[in-house]
Amino acid sequence: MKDHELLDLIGQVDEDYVLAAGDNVVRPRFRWKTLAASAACAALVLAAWPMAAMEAGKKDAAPGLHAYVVMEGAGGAQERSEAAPKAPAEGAAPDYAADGDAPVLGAAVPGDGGEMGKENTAGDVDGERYWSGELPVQEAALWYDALLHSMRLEDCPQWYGGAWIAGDRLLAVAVVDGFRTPELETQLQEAAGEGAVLRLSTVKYSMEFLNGLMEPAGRALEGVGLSCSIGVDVAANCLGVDLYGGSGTVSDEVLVRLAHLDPDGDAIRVRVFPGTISDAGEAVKGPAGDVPLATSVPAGRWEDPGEEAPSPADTVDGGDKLYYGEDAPADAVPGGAYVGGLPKAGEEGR
Amino acid sequence: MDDNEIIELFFARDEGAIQAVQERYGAYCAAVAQNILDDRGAAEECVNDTWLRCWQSIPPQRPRSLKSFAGRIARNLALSARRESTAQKRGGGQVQLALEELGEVVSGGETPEGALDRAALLAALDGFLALLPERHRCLFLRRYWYLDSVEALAGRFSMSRTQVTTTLHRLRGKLRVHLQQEGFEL
Repeated sequence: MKDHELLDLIGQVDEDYVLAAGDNVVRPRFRWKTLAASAACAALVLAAWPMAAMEAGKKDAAPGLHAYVVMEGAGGAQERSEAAPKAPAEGAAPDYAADGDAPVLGAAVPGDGGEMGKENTAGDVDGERYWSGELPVQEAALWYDALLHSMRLEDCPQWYGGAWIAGDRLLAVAVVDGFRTPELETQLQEAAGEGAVLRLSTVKYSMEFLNGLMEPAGRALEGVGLSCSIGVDVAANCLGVDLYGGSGTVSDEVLVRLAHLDPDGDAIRVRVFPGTISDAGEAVKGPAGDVPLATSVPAGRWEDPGEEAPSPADTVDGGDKLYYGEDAPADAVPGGAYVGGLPKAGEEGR
Repeated sequence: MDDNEIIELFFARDEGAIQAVQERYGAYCAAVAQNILDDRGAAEECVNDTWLRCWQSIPPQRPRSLKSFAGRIARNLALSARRESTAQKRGGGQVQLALEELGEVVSGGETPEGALDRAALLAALDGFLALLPERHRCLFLRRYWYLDSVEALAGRFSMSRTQVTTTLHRLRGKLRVHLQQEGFEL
């Protein structure tokens, strides 16, 4: 068959087909399925990309294991007592080591105010009992009380990083970084009352944030097998987690959980006090001997002035300094002491 | 005036029928012829011959579609004119290209008289077209009935030239397979 014969034959095909081909321009069908599939893929990619990036970022930023400090050394309490520094003089540069046991939210801590080791007495301001060694401290408590009510500190405003009686006639107020303005400073001064001596400092974490960490930190410690004490250390601007008993090690699982709660590693301070716990769970025995009590003041109050108050720990293990807040060296565990070098995750310090 | 009225004029041997069909389908037939001949003068001549052929064919024939009927006459006349022209001067034009393409489907050899039942082959062709999607069927017919150029098809069907060429190649392959399955030795 010749090609022209086929061409002629094509000329005789069904006229309906010919007319249909002659009449209309047949546009490509709009492929809704293709479009829908493409849109779905694009949506998935767009949705997954930030999540993947976030996950990647988390992995990069994830510290792995949270650091902690083992508080070792018998007789630490004794050394602590001897090495206790003086409280800062009025107008002098703040000594965070001395502030470490400062009262929080109006609570008084034994040994706070004035020279460490002085006999303390109780004060009573507006029905609240305050531990104070001298009248000026009580005066600072009055300033604090005025500040508490005027500024509604119990509501934990965003700027509020904590407040504590820092010494003789001195009330320390921590303001979260970024919120400190001359207006706020003036407001605080006015709220504390005429003649109030305030020492303002800038901190990283708000009281609200640290309070919010308490519950998840408690959950993270479930199954740790040690007695725990958790509380906000206002002066150190962190959540203090003290673990008592055991051999001085904390399981990786717990450290991972804490690291997730505290990626920067400075919002939660973990200290381990090795030794054995008595049946009552109160006395610490074992190799640690006079294991220092928690140096920070967990959220609770020390309200009974009749009870023998522990002294604040400023050194442990034969003179190793405890560091707090801004006083801490760059490589120190924030708000804690490090013994025998900075502990590293997964290494000897753990 | 619709097709039936024009056809009635033809049957009545009313010369107004030629005027009417020219007004109604003159442009269409001219386009068909122009596609094949690439020469406006030759196409006009071809169209004028188309009306004459219509006058001669109706009656006795009564076309179902006057447009298709006239267009087919115009196509055949244009193809004949083209063949006469290319016999003197080879090459060029859509007809030559279409013939070359259709050469893929047929062997080009001599077929014994009567070996190919043209009616059966035409039915097979219609069957093949019926199997195609509308878009591909239109593309095939625009190329091999209307003899549109590949460029024109690309514009008409919103396709690239490559897409048109590729699609036509596949359609010719399908046609060959289809005709062979129908028992035709081409």
